[in-house]
Amino acid sequence: MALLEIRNLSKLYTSDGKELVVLKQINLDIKENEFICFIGPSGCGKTTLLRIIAGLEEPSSGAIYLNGEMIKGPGPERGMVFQEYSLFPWRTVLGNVAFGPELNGVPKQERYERAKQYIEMVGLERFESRYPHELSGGMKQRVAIARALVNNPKALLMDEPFGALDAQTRNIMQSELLRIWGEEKKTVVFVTHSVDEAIYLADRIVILSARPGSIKDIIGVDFHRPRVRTSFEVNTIRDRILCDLRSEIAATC
Amino acid sequence: MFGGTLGHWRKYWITALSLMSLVVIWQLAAMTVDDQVILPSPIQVFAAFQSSWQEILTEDLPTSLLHFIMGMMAALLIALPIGMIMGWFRLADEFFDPIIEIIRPIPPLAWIPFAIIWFGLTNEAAAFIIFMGAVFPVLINTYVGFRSLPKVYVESAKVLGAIKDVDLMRYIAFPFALPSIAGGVRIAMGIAWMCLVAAEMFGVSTSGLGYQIWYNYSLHKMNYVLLYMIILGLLGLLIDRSFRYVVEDKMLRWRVGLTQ
Repeated sequence: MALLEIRNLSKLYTSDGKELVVLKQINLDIKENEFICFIGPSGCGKTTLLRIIAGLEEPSSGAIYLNGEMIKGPGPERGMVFQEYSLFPWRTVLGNVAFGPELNGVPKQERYERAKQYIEMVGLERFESRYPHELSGGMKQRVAIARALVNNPKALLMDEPFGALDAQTRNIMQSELLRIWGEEKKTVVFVTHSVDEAIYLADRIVILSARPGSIKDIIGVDFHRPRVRTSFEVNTIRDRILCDLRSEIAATC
Repeated sequence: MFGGTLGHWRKYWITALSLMSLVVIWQLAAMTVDDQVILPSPIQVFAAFQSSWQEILTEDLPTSLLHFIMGMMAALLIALPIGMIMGWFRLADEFFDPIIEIIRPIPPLAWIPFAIIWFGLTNEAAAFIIFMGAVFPVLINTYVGFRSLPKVYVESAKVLGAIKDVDLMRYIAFPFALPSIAGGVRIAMGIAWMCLVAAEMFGVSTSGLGYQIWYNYSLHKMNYVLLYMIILGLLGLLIDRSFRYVVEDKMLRWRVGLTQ
């Protein structure tokens, strides 16, 4: 059985009496430990889909099941990393990462130990008593990843987490994420608009069509990691995805 | 900029020089006017201090501080919870807003007659006037702090397991709003200090720094009047500075990056 099952999912917004269909009849199974990327033209609803999985938004029809149980709201078993910097500025790195266990009533010493373990995993042990404003963009997102993982979630949802980073940092963060994913063995659902990022990271790439968003294509990327960004296989897949996307973008602009 | 310590000392010297010249000019002016009622000299004010400092320390200062603390505490006790629930729940906002908008424009000193009728000439009466002056700045800044909370912090907290309103308010909205609340408390303390003097002057109390100003005025002992004015000023400055030191420099250290 799949870890996440998305069934007949649609989402529409009403504004000024007009209905706007954002997602239309999405069906998708996501396996345990799988790394999935959603890619699509802007406004295709890929972020909305991720937010529905997170429980931050409700579907208009259809449902999503986690281990067979319907998702009804946000919960710590689905960790999320946001595109914008979301660390609590009034808490130190340690305080941010220890937040989830603190809510669960884990005693102070124990939650700090657990938090430190994850801070070490993302390579920031020297920065644990710093405040977010003292960190670079890449560091902030590392902390955000540690903060989500400390709750031991079944799935890690990532909404263009490296979108605001410069190209070099972005590449480093991508390989760091793969290393962490290898250590933790989580299901990752990753939204991006970068084709290169998707091919570098994903087991399967889900291509969404322009609004109303529906699944246009699913591409399995089954060659070994770390992938060489300029290899023949990568180029072949990139061409195919770009071709898919080009027809979608042409339809909207 | 000058190198750290050098620039620091320079600033102290200029401050000292500035205050000293004020005292010198004041003394010269008082000698020219030569009328203790119109302008008492620094020396006469100091003489007043020498003969009354024990009374100030044992009676007026404790009385005024008691009024101040009672009024501020009551203001915080009422303003914080109401500001928080108004900032968080739309229904509470819609319910409380008209009441607040009706009462808020009434100057706090207009409540003095009712304060005396309701509480008599007691500490509670003075505290009530201070409360009326201090409650709204705290309430409104608490409300604004809660209202300006970015959505991403709420959503982050939710996906980390903070689902209940109580948890979100306690762990997210309150710490985020704290700088705004602190700003409100600072403004409130300034207003409270003004209200304190007025309340005591208008006879809500029979001792205290404000009361002494009015009492000594009726005796035309203007050097005493000036002495109490200076004490009020210095005390207000001291309260504001210690508040800033404790709250802004220590508690809100995380905020440095946001304001720069």
